Parts: sequence; structure tokens; C-alpha cells
Amino acid sequence: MCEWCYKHGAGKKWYLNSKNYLEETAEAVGAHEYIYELWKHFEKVYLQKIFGISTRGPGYKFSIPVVGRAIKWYISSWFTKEKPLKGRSPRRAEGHPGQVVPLGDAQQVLELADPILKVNCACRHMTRGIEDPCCLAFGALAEMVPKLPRYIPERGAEQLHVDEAKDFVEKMNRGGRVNTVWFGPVPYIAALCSCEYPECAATRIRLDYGLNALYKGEYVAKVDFSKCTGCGTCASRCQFGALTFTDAMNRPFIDAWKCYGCGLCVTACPEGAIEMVDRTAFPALKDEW
Amino acid sequence: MKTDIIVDYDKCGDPRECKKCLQICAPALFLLYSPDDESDDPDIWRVDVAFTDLCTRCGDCVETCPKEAITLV
Ligand code: SF4
Ligand code: SF4
Ligand code: SF4
Ligand code: SF4
Ligand code: SF4
Repeated sequence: MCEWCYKHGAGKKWYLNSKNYLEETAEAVGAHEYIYELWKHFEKVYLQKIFGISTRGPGYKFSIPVVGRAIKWYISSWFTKEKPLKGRSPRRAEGHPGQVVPLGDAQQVLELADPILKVNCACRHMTRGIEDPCCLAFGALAEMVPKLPRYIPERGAEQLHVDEAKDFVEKMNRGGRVNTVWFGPVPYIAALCSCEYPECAATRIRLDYGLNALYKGEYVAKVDFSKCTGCGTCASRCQFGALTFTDAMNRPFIDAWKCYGCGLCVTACPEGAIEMVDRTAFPALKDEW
Repeated sequence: MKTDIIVDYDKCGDPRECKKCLQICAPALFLLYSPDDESDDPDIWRVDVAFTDLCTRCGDCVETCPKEAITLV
């Protein structure tokens, strides 16, 4: 279990604790004001504020010896900041990290959330200029949408019944989207997203710059070689570079260190040869989030 | 080698209408944003290039821009 499960999980995984979805929790952390401020300036927050000065070539900044590492640590610390609103800046996305969840857990999340509103993906609007209604917004985030028209889909923000929402995330998952759950801010849960690299703002800075805006999931994928027929269907599924298909062995291999536990390989496999194993079953990965 | 991708805003015009550069760049280095701090639904949007250290200098953005607004330095 990750640190949030200990702090905000009440014995469960943090995102399965119903308390983190309540209006009272939203009010206690000032979620309404926070979310409005963050989403209003979403693109600018990302472009300038996350990196303090600018995003222009952060790789060079981070490569400066010692100083680079200090800046990186400092920025990473923002995402998990746990303070009441006054001590936390939405302009830096403080307290707004996400975590990868496999399909089954994503569907359990939807049973706890209310209302569920299908809205445009902020990241894809920013990176590709497109409207892609694939984010499921809850509570305080759902309330913000009418105030910021760029997040309202062409056909209008659609409220989904829990069963429709479950089908929707399954469709997203089968299509190759990574399901992720988001604090907005810690410990209030505001959204269930369907992400893709490189468009997803958080996945981009996690994979390319090692900033902890997105955490690995609670599971790791494992192949059962007795079931695998070597069909290769899973080969193209992994966005995290964890699954490689070797031609000589005619099998996939999964690097548990790199696996984010998204389970896209699991839903792709026609033989049911891949399963998700709790991360705690791999003691070496205890601190790998 | 460090690449700078310069966008000439006088030539670019309305990137929310065009958005060709946003969509052609494989590593998604272009970002659409509003420089206006206060407006909720700003009319003035701009493209800017972030993460220039990930640019491969493939030249696709320069080639695709109908207004010749992009220069690689
Ligand atoms: S986190 Fe994922 S789905 Fe949510 S806005 Fe970003 S890319 Fe879109
Ligand atoms: S191997 Fe890749 S696709 Fe499979 S669960 Fe891990 S990160 Fe996801
Ligand atoms: S999709 Fe399943 S059966 Fe096919 S190669 Fe991958 S693990 Fe093996
Ligand atoms: S392709 Fe050129 S004109 Fe079109 S948005 Fe990009 S910079 Fe502007
Ligand atoms: S040169 Fe290629 S990689 Fe660089 S910004 Fe343009 S399209 Fe993107």
C-alpha cells in the first residue's frame, strides 16, 4: 500500500475509502475554490508554474549537478502537499497528484462517486487542441465545469449513471487508455481519467522528468507462461516500457520495476495469461511508487 | 543540442482554429494556452513550445504550418 492508503485509506486503498468522496471532505480542504482556480489556469499552471520559471527545456535545468536534483525534489513535493487551502497553491497544482488504477478498481471508484459527469480532457485540449470527453469528474470538479466552457463537450456535459460510467471506463481501457484517479486536492477525490502518453500532462512529466505528479498503481502485472500462446497481442499495449515481447522466446516479459499496474496488457490478452498481483507481493518494490 | 522553437504570433493568428502544429508534433511539445490571466473564456489563445529538450528537430511543425510562423533555432 502506498503512503496515502495509510493516511487516507481507513484500512483500504485510499481511492476506495468513501470518506474521500464526501462533500464534507471537499469543504474541509477547500476543494471548490482550489479546483476552480487550478482548472481556470490549467494550461498556464502547466506551462509556467509547475517549473517555477518556465517549462523550456527543464531537462537542462534538472541536469545541473546538485541544484538540478534539489529543484526536482522541490517540485515533486508540491504534488503531495497536505495542507488546508490557505497553505496550498492551486497555481502550482499542489496537492493534486494522481495514481494509476486497473480497470476493476476504477469501476469500484465509480460506485463511490456522485455525481459522475463526462467532461473534456484538459490535457488533450492543451496539447492537441481537441475536445475529447473522456474524463469523469465528480462532486466539486463536476460543479466547476459549467463555469469553464472549454471543458464542456460539444454535446453538453453528460451525467452518467454508475453502470454507464463503468461501461465507459471499460471501453476506454480496452481502447488503450490508462485509468487514473486524481486527488483534487488531497485527500478529496475529484476525477477518474483515461490517459495516454504523451498527451497526459502528468504522465509526461513523470516519465520524462521523474516528477511525481502520477504515482504507480497498487499492482504489478505478471505473466503465466503456461497459458501464454505467444500471440503477441499484448506487445503494443504498454505505455510505460515495462512489457517487451521477445521474438526468440515468443513470449512477453514484464519488468516489474517499470510496471505502473495499469492492467492494459491484462485486458488485451485473449488467453487470460496476465494477472495483476498486489505490489506488496514484491518486497523489492516496497518504495517504488 | 538545445533547440528553440520560435512562434511568430503576428503570423500565427488563431491557433484554436488551426492547431496543425499541436497535432503534427509526435512528442506533443506544443501547448495551447491563454496569456490572459483573468478571462474565463479568453479569445486570445496562443501556442507555445514546452519541453524543448525533447524536440528531435524532425521539422514536421515547420513544414505543416500554413502561415510559416514556426522557426527552429
Ligand atoms: S489526467 Fe488524463 S484524462 Fe485527465 S485531463 Fe489529463 S490526460 Fe486527460
Ligand atoms: S506491463 Fe505495462 S501494460 Fe501491463 S500493467 Fe504494467 S504498465 Fe500496464
Ligand atoms: S496477449 Fe496473452 S497470450 Fe498473447 S502473447 Fe501476450 S500474454 Fe501471451
Ligand atoms: S500551425 Fe502555425 S498557424 Fe497553425 S497554430 Fe501552429 S503556429 Fe499557428
Ligand atoms: S521539430 Fe518535430 S519534434 Fe520538434 S517541435 Fe517540431 S514537430 Fe515537434
